[in-house]
Amino acid sequence: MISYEEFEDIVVNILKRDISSNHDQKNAIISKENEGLFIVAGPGSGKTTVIVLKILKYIFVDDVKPNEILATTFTKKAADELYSRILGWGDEIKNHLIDNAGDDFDLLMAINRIDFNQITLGTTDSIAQELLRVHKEPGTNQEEVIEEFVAKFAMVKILLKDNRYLDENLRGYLSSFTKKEHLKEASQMSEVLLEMKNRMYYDQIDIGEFYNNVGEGSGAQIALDCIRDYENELKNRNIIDFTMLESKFLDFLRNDKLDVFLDDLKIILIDEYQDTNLIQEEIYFTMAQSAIANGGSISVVGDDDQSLYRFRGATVDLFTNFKSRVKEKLGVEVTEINLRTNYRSSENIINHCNRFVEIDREFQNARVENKPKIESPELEKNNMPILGLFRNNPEILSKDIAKLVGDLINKGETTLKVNRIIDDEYFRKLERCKTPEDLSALRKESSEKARGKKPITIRLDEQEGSASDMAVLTYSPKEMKYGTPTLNGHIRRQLKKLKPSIEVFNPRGRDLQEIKEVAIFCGLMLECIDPESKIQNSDKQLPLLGSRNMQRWRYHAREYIKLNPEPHEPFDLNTFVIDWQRRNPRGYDSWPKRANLMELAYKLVTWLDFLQEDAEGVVYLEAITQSITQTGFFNKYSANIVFTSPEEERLSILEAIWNIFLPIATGDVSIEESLLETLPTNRLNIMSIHQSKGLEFPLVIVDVGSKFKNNNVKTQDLRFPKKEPDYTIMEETIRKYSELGDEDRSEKDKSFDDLTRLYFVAFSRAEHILILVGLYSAIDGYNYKQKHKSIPNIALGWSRDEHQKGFKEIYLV
Amino acid sequence: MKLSSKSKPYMIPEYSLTGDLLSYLTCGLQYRYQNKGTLPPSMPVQLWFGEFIHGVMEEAYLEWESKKTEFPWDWKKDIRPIEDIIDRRLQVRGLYPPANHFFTINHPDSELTIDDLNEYDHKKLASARAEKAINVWGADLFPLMDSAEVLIKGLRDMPYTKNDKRSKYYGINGVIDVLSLVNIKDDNKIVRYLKENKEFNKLAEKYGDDEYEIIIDYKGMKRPPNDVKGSNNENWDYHERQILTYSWLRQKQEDKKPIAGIIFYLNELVPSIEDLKLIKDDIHYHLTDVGDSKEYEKDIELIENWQDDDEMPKLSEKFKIDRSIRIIPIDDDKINEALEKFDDVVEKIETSIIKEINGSKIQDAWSAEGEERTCSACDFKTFCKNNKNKTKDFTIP
Repeated sequence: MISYEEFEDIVVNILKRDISSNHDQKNAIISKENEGLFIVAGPGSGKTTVIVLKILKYIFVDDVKPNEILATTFTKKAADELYSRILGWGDEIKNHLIDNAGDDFDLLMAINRIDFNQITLGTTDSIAQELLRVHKEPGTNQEEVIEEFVAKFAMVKILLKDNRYLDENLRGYLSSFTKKEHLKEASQMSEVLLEMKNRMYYDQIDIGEFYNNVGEGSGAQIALDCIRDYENELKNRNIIDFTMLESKFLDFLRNDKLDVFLDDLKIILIDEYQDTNLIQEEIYFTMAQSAIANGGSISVVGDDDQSLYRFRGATVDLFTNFKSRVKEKLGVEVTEINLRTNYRSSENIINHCNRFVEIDREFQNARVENKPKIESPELEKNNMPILGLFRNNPEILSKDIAKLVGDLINKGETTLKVNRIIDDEYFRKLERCKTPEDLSALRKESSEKARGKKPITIRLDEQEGSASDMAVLTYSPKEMKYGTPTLNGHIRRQLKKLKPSIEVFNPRGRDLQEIKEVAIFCGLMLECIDPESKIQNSDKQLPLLGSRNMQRWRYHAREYIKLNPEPHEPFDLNTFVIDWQRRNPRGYDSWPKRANLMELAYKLVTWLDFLQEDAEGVVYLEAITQSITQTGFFNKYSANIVFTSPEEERLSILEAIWNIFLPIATGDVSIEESLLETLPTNRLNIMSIHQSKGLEFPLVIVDVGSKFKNNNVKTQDLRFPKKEPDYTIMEETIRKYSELGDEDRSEKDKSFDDLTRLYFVAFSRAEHILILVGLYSAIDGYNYKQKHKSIPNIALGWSRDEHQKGFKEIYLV
Repeated sequence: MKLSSKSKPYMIPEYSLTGDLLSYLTCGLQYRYQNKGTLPPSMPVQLWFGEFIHGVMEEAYLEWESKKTEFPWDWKKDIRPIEDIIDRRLQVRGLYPPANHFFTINHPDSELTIDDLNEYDHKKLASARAEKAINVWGADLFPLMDSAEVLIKGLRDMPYTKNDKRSKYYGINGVIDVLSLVNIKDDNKIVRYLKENKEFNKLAEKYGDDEYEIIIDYKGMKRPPNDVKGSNNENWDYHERQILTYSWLRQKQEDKKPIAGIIFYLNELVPSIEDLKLIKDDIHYHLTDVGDSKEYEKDIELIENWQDDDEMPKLSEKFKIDRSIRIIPIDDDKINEALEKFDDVVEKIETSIIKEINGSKIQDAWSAEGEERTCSACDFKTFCKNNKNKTKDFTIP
């Protein structure tokens, strides 16, 4: 339609995106339809911009039709953002062209006809679902896809049938995949079985071969039987889970059942390719065969240094070896492009990331060959040094972090005194430290370096600045562990003590049922339907953890009733509960034959303000109601309590306990984070590094050692894995039967790689200010029996051969 | 050092014609909890039936397209299997059929198969309506259908214009139940109804073609009264605006230009007691456009004499069929007004969302001003600050 020069002109001058001066970006965008690309996109490199402009360029310059383009993203949120940008920018380009088309009627028609909605865009799963729906064979009934927790529920039912979960061989086999306690509860076993099943699909293994290699009656065989029964159960109900969906999709693609779609496909663009698994690669490559035959290409975008999903079945080698795999399987060459300029972060942060990722020589073997350093664009940017905030214990640490955050939010600024400066020299000398005296001297030296340095003042933007400009990133967002608060838990408490107090946003920080209001709410429901726990206590098969939590909820509920919360009209909470317990009707002549649990739930919300007035509270309520409605089709009473006879009453209460309350009590029900779009901006974000992927914040705090008091073997996995993590056992066992086969890289090396990537992602989230936090022992080491000991810790610049190269310069405040 | 503030993600909020517009106009607070949020209704009778009848009509069409089964279809042989598929599909999504409306065999307790069923015991209200919808309208509708479940989308400027607006634009989307190509020369019941409509004829004359695109929408409800003021019920207008907005979106797609919409109010084919009570009021107070004239004398008499606890009156087929179809000619002049009204709703919703983001409590950010009949059926009536009927309605259980 238009020339590339015209296109670039519009993009630079109308959309205000300078793609002409960044040659890497330009090369990525200008490539022809039949030129596949392998785009290695470092953090902050404008990846989304590049993908959107590639698509728009194909449409406006190469006359590729929107329905000939397929683009995938990793999450629905990313898909929404991509779609919004294509729509927004695409429309601006359209409008500009229309304004300048003059009398050219044909051109005007062509421009108007462009419909971006015709682009096939979404996550691989959503695209699979949509295509299978639109192109379903006449006369067949399309299967419904079920959520993860429903799948788990179905697997639990399989295990409970004929008490299969009690089989010792099965228990032993499943326990071997997790180093935790011997598995006893059906719900835990169900998780392991589902993971096994998923891996079998991800790695596209030969199930027959697997089956033949296991002994008759062995735990492995029973496990495979359970999986087969699960699949049959689902098929009988005409439902599938997500892995089965992908498998079906691949099957259809291979067997000419989606030819109507494939015949038109020209361009394939896959984002976040570093987190792909084998079955997804098969899907993409099968589609790519058609795209290439149609004169098009397949291009992928990703960053091996940000591959974080191995524990969910991803294989980063599919990315790092993309060029050779494409050559081998599709017979085409692709061009590698490195988007190395980072527009997000300051120069110091970029240097810190570069240094961090190159510390470990062995790690370089896992990366894309000849990977270039991240570059800083030549812009004037404030260049704050990397800061460190370390204290002697988590309580003081959290207090000082809370003060920093609190001052910024409540006063708009904070001032930090520089106490020490640690640098290359410091780390070199630290390695040679042998005695407590050596350490003392070294610390004094670093204090000296700080002398004379002006205090650092940080200010929030007066107009727009808020708590959402900051984030605390950590290995695990949990606020409690083994009954004691973690750093996150301490931070929440400290922030609450401030005047005015500050709220924390950490939806994964606690299990749903640990939240006070949720516990009270569920407790109230249980107290109403099953007074004095008569029915609950009568069932000895209830898992211990679950029944303990349910008792705890009831206790909180009773305490809450004593507080006599508003409203008191037309009656108070105590009256409502007692009447329900005694089956004493109000507004009816007699107690009805059935009572709907959703109705009971909504009525109880009357006395729980948090669940009705707070956006986060409503999301918790939504998770609970989901538990009430979604597994109903497996159940006899579908979330009703039936009063036609005492036996029916008992059975329906039991069913509610097993199907609704137990999954909540055992932590199987989690909230739908995407529902939190309206969350207030005045809450501090605390999240896991995984959750932070793709995000960026002006100020980032990374926990690099709040748990490391000494070189305790218990904390090894978090900082310096000497043994393989749990999930690798499953990976190894199953992969034997896959094309991926036995690998060159050892499990231990892969675990180090993963930790390096994790903290690389953490550090690269920061735009202007990066603050590393932890205990002093994490950076300085500690004294033990008159000797100095260090704590090996990847996050603080250790390589796997047990040397600490450390960082160039950190200002400790 | 001054921190710049975190840039907002680029996103264009999407609004659905049916999901957002109509729900918000019913009640803002209910919209917040049930549509923006996902709190399910405790008694989703309306929701279940709406999904059920849509699903059945869609499957029936696909079936007819591949097998060309002759009309009338046999309930047990041809229709019930389709109902069964839809029932299962809905159950997986957490929507269960109300027992007095539908007899389900997809239940852990049930050992029955379709063969065991009979019309007398097992063809309840939903099934009766499904059968009528297919046999009364299917024969004429299916041959006209060009495509079903067509997704349409468009972009409009964001009407909320303050500095904290979330985006420059908003997206509208909708799903047109059926797009049909109608030749006015066809001998077809639907075409006859079209030709009986004065405005439609004027438009057809203006364009002078034989074939036109018609938008068709099914609704699992009764025909709303066309006297909006008198009945205090705006649905008549909302439905027209929905068709007008669909037409605008459709015109943006592939230069198509639908000239009319047809709404099928499927409940009219087999009205329930609740429906009948309302129909009685519509007729008695002269609020409706169909059924209130000389040609329906006998039916009017039956209805006026009917009381709640009487047996259902035997209304004429003509009465029921005539009331179940509504022709809406697409007047280009009215389209703009419909779009502006849509913009108004979006502005109100965006205002509420931004209030929430700025820290307001939910009930302070969202207005709750439903009609009384909406409130009495609402799950949130026990804690809604706007409901005056709270005290009377709080029952146990």
